[in-house]
Amino acid sequence: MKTHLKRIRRDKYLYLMLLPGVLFMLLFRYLPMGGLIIAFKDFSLRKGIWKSAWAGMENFTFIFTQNPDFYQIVKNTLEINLLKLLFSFPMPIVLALMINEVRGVRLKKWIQTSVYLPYFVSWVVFGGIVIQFLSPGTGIVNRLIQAFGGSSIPFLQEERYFKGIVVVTDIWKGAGWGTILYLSALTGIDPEIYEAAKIDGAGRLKTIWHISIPGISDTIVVLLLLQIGAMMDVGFEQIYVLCKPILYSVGDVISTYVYRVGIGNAQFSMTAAVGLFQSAVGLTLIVICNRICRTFFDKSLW
Amino acid sequence: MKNHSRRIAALSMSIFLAAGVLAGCKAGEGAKEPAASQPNGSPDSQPTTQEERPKVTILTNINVDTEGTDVNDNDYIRYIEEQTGIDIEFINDTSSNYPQKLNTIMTSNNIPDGVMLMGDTQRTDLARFAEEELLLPLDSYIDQYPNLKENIKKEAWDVTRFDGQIYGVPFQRYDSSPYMTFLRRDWLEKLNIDPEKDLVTIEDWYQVLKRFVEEDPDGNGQDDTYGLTATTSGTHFTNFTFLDSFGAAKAKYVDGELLPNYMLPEYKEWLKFMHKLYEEKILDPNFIVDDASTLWDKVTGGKYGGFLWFWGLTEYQSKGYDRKELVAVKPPVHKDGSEASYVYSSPNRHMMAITTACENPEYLLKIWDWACSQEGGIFTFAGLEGKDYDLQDGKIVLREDRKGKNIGWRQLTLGIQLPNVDKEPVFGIMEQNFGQQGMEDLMLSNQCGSYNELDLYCPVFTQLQKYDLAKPVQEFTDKAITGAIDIDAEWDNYVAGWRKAGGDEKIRLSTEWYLGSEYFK
Amino acid sequence: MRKRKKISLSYMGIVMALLLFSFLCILPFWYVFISSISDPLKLRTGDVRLFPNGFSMQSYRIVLKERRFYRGLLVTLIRTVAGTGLGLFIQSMTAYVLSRKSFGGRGFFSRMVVFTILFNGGIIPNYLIMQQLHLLDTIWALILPMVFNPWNVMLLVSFFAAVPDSIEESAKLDGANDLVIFFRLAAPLSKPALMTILLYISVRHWNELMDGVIYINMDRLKPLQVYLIELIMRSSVQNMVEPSENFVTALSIQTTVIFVSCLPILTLYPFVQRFFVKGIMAGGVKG
Repeated sequence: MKTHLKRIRRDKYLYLMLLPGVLFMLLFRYLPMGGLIIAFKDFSLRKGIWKSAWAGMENFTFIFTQNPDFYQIVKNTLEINLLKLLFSFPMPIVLALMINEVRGVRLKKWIQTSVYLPYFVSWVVFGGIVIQFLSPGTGIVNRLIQAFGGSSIPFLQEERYFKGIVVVTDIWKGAGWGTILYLSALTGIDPEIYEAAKIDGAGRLKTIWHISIPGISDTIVVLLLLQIGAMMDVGFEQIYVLCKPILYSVGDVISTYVYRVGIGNAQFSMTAAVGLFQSAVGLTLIVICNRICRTFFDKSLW
Repeated sequence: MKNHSRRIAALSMSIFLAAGVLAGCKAGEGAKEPAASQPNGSPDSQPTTQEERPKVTILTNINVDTEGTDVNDNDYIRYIEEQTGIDIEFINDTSSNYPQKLNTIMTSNNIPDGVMLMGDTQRTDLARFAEEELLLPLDSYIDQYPNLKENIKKEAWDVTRFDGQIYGVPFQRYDSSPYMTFLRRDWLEKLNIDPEKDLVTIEDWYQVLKRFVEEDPDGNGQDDTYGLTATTSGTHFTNFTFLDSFGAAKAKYVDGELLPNYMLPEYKEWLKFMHKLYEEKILDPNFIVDDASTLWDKVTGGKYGGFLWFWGLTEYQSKGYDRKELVAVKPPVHKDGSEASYVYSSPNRHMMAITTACENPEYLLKIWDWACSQEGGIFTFAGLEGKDYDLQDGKIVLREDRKGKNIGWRQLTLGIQLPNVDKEPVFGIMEQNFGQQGMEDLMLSNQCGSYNELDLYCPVFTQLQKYDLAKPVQEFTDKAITGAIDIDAEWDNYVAGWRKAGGDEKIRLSTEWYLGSEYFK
Repeated sequence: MRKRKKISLSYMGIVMALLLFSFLCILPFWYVFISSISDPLKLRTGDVRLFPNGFSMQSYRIVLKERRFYRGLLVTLIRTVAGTGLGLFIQSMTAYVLSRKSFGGRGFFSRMVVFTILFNGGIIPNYLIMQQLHLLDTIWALILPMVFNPWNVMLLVSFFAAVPDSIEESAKLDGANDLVIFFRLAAPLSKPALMTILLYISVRHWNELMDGVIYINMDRLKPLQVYLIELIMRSSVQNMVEPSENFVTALSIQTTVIFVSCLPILTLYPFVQRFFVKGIMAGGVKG
């Protein structure tokens, strides 16, 4: 107990610095979480969050047993996120490492600026561009296929292409923006270490592997763990724009389902229940992976 | 050290700032406070009368060009306020997030007097709010408002009922079906087709559309033309020209059950026909994958013989095309030879409801009653005398530069409550706006539009809201038309799947209602 | 130094790949640009065009003509500047504390932060809290809820963790307390990271739409994004009553809106970028 107090006294300035952040967190993050209890209620607008009648686990049993599509939707969500984790997640790292190798300051700036532009184009318009590119009639992709003697493919009508399109367009739109963080992490590496490596005659790959990657590994681990925590959540807009009803069996995900039923039909309790389910899975995954990372790489979120 | 204390000062400042903000921001509270009531009124624009006027707040989603003016501060709103003696304040959210806005505001303790219920969810919203006693039943009031009573049709009122009582003032459409099928006039002429004679039955249509594909109607010597184009947003925008002709557009009582149209064997037949059109490239083969925005390029590009769209043809004309290049046609007749129709979801565009938080519902009702008067009708259709129109020998003549200006705002705010577009003075005003051809098309739409009555008058069952009932229908429809699945093989699975996922409950509830209703003969 | 070195094959490969990718990235943005200035009547979406078709500033005129645009711009500027300042200040302090291995509450508070990334209450509880705090229809409704961002905090923690302990220790020996160490040493050493988070926060503020829709009723407090989305919705709303004039295709308005709304925030990047091009860590240590 005494050591505890002593520690707090020693860290008093740290606590002082922490205070405003914690206050804001409690007020605008934790307090609203009380609203999650509507997942266990039959929410009524008039009665409000606290006075609505309890429903027990009814909302959860409904989702898991009454909706025959729910497992398909969860499966699609997980599959798309796994693919994104495998392909979209490393792309900004690779790009940042490549950009870091560029020597001309002008060229470097130009590349940096251009790759983050698509981030600012909304999915509605970006999706429109993708749809155009892939159009079987006039799209540039199919024109290329035809030029090489193939026959045109209705990409957004056939199930087998959908997940690939989601991942590729995700990289196209987001990878550049993702590099910013890694680039700023790379600047944290002492140039003298690079100099030393050069003197030792280390090649490009070796330098990247032994200096650059370890230098940004903290950032990679944090982002990786956070990404894993969002495993049950696929961004709504991209899927909403690209997934036509004909592709529902491969493309319908939790967020689009919640949009249709939860928001469209104003099912607040159900929306909260689905959200709670997503969060609980995310929490479990993040705890497990955090432990793994701590054991094997000595890096962790907490 | 100096630096050090400065940092601490900055830090404590930020904490105080945060605390001060939380404590001291009462000034900007809620929309109902008089201080906030005139966000944009300049001090000199407050005539003395305004202080005595009673005030109402209405949550709306009116998203039209207001010529840059604030919805709460323009000539038109001032005119309505003068005419009715009531001060109106709109909370106008026109983003795509209106449902969320509506729901959050209804949960709060800051509920406005009136709310606009609109879009696909208007009837379920009304049912939800009415069920929770958040809306005021209006039956006992309506008799006191002669204009409302006289000009709003029974079916329009009926759509606003929940549990037998009226909960909303309907804002009626003046067309029975906004949708019409349009065909290219030049192709019809080139192939010598007279729509009156040659486009009667489904088979006639099939033959004509086939000729559109095979007989090179654009005369470029290439096999590059199609019969019809369409867009996909599920079932709603897929070309439904033939739907009612197959008897597949309306709910039906079959073997002791009231079935929605998409569960009927007739719907299956329609799907097979559509699939045939798709296979034979009569129906645009890219209708699924192409962006809906390309519809107008296809229509104007000269490779598609026809399409289904709103009779107003706004986009088409805005591209600089004359609607005379298109012919509006009736749908093919039913198999028994009787006339078929374009089936639309509701006679109302939206409805306005009065909340239980409203202390004086008579103010709102007075505004809407005024909108139904002759005076109000002329205002909504023609605007303000001396600004939008002039009276010449007692006839309303729209000013050339004011045609169509602000009409959207007036009509959506007050409703088209004088629905007699075929009578003067409205017809004359409309003709000045839409032209003769436009009025002909409008009259045709009124002639061949109808509603899915049993679906329309069937009450909304809020307990069905938790089901995802539309998804399987959209998915199956698109897959069936494009041939991604075999219709005959999959139909039974589709029906069973839909029924299991909540459809049975829907059928059970609506059948119960139907058997006890006046529609059951 | 550059002259001495021969350009190796691997370097060529890297540059070529990067150029190809940046070309792909510019493509959509270029498309947005040319669509916004093309004649709306000629904006045919079926063709892949690389150059504007016709020339028209009509959609720019539509977007820029209303007073609401300028009011929205002002609101957005205020919220972005105030929100970014306050947010960066509080988030970086929080993150610095959580990055100190010696700090006793580290594990507890870090878990607490991560927890808020995973769980959130949804729109209605947030609205009710804002109502209780009497923040509805005030500019603070657009600023305060975003002051604390757990995601940014966790990223900053990983950056601050890279600040060597030796610096802290030697400063402590000189008698400096944690506040001084943070402001005088840790924060300046982590400038690239802080600038990145600054960019993140300001872009979030700039693009945020939902809070303006839900928390703000008054026209004059609506941020730019609300006005812009209303314009987009307006042009795509299928209206039974509006005759054809002034009708511009949704795509024209959309692309114009994207261009107009991201130009100001794009200008921020070059300032941030300065900090990435060259590392400053070494200099900081030596100085």
